[in-house]
Amino acid sequence: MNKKLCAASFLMACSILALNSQTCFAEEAAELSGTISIYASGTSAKGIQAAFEGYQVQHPDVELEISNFETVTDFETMMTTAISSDTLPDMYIAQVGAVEQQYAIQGYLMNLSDTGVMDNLVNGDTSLITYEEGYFAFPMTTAISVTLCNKAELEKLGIELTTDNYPTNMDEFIDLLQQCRDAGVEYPFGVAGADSSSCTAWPFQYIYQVLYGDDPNFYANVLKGEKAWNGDEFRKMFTDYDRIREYVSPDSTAKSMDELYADFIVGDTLFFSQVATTIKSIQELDPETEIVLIPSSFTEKSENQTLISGFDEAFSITTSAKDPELCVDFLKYITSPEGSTLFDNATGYIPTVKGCESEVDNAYEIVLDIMQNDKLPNSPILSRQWIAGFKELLKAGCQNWLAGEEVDSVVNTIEEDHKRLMEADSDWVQNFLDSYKWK
Amino acid sequence: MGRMKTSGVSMNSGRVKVKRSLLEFLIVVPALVFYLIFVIYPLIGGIYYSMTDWNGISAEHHMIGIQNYLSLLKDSHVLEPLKNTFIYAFFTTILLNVLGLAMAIGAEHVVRGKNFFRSLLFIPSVLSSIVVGYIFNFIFANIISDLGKALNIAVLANNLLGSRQWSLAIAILVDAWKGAGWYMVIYIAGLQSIDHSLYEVADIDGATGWQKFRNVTFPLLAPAFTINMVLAVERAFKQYDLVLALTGGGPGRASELVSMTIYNESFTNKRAGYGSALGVILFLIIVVITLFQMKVLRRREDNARD
Repeated sequence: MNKKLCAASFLMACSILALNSQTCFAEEAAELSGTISIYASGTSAKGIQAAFEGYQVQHPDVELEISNFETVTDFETMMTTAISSDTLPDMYIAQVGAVEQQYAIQGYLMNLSDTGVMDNLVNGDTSLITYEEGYFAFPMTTAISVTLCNKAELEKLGIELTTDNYPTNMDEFIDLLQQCRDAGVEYPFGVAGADSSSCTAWPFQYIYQVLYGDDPNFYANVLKGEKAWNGDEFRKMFTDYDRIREYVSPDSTAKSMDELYADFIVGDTLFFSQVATTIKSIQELDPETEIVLIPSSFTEKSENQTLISGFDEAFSITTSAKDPELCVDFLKYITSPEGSTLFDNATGYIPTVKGCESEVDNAYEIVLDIMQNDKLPNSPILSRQWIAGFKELLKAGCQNWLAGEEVDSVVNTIEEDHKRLMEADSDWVQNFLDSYKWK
Repeated sequence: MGRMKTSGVSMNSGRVKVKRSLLEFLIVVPALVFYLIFVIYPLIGGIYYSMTDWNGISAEHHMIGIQNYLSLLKDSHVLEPLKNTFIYAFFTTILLNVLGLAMAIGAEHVVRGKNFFRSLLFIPSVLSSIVVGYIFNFIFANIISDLGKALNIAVLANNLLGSRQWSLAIAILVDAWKGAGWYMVIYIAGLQSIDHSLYEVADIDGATGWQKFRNVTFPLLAPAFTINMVLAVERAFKQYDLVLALTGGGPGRASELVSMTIYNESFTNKRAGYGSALGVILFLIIVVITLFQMKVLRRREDNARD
């Protein structure tokens, strides 16, 4: 009996030991370690860092190495360098676009379709995060292209913008600018002419809202040779822009983004066109600045007004990632309700993850009301593909126009330079037209 | 015996020479390795890519021979930055040398606090081009603009950097302000190598200050002048960061230099092969101008020596 008891005890002890060691082995196998290298913009880097602190609680042996970039061009330059020297980062988060799609097609990015992370994404236009194999990126924010308004300064002038009285067409917006001028602000609309993003923000909003409103196939028709940048439609943009230029300070051509922020904060400028996340940059300079975001209002008729929005900065994992499992695990965390809440609270981004509970800035009050209640149709901001270099030539054209060049000369140069880009990359044009879904 | 001894000595001295040469070569090796890795290898890489259709993204590229070069010859898009670069190089070379020489002569004539003045004049040269660009951006956008508004001068009031007529000229002036210190140092070295007895002889002959400069100082500064002219032209053609921070090449493309076009073509327009071809053209332009300068200026040096 004693022998039997001893044997039973021995077997039990062995089983427990075996079970324990199995559990330990399983724990060891689950324990992740290593360093994840990521390319990110300054704002996204803050979000990644915040989410990573949460992730590190579970995985203390994982480290993060973030390389910052400022603009999309900087990012693409870094990627070109990394591709040519075979030093791609493990992951990156960048604005999705035609170039990033090319990275996926060329095989530099991991297919995320089978990882399960895409189940966390809210509904939206995914055309620019997919390629023939599946998904190559997980968008972490919805960009809304808006008119930023200095709420507090407007209220001092007796103007309060609400969901019921924001301008809904070009005439109403011009009236609002005039109202501000009459109240003592001589140049209420701001443009940072030296900054590529600011200089092209208004024209892009006009293109998305008005040109595409009139002809959703505008760019495809340009590439097909049936429309041109020096045609009447695009030329009209400068006629409308001229109405706004009346309210833009004459020294705006060389103005930097920081100077524009400064003008906005002190109330010398009350409105400017940009993506909504710009509020974060302004609040970093002056947390007290009260901002309200309103939809672009550049259409002739109110019924044609749209809200310009679409998926923006998105995470991708490269095929050169040292430890793909680790990267997927981190991506799963940052796209979970917990991780994305940390991420979005740090960045101020509009959440794209199901169940995310981040706090959205009060500045979004009007546009969120429009989005949530479907008050305006959506003009997709990033589903428009442009040939590489288009933004630069649009910037140069707008700068020349701001500096006093005639509209004819400006649009002819844009058309000529765009044709040059088309000739240089005829394959891209062909691919675009071959895969284009005519609307 | 004597003969044998002599031959032994010459063999020894030969060995010593070989050893010394070997030692000298070994000393040069680290620098040579860096030079090969960071100058020659990228140069060869650049020439190689200039003969491809690489877009800077694709894993594949095709050899297209001299197609990029032929396209460049017909491309009016690069003419404006090329013209800007020549204007920029011409005026910065003149300004840098005039300012550098004036500062060198001025600093040499200071009796007390000579080193302080030299340092003061040299400080802009050690500042980062990007920092200088942003500082002057601020100065033109605020200080000069406010001055223009106060004095009611419209040209100044509207930030000169935003003017198509003025932006390149301002970039030239800022470059001259920043770079003159380097040229001053070389001119100071040249001035100090001039035998002072020549000035004493000139004094005895009753030469005026201008005559002493014209007939003694300037001819004998020929070697320093050669170095400075070559350096100034080469730097001007390669200028990028200062103008980028100052004007970004704008407004439009009014102050865009070829180096910026190379960047834009390679990275923004995704034409790395084409951008490389433009880089090779820029390299050849610099080589040809430098060789021409060397030939002309060396002749001047010889004349001055005679």
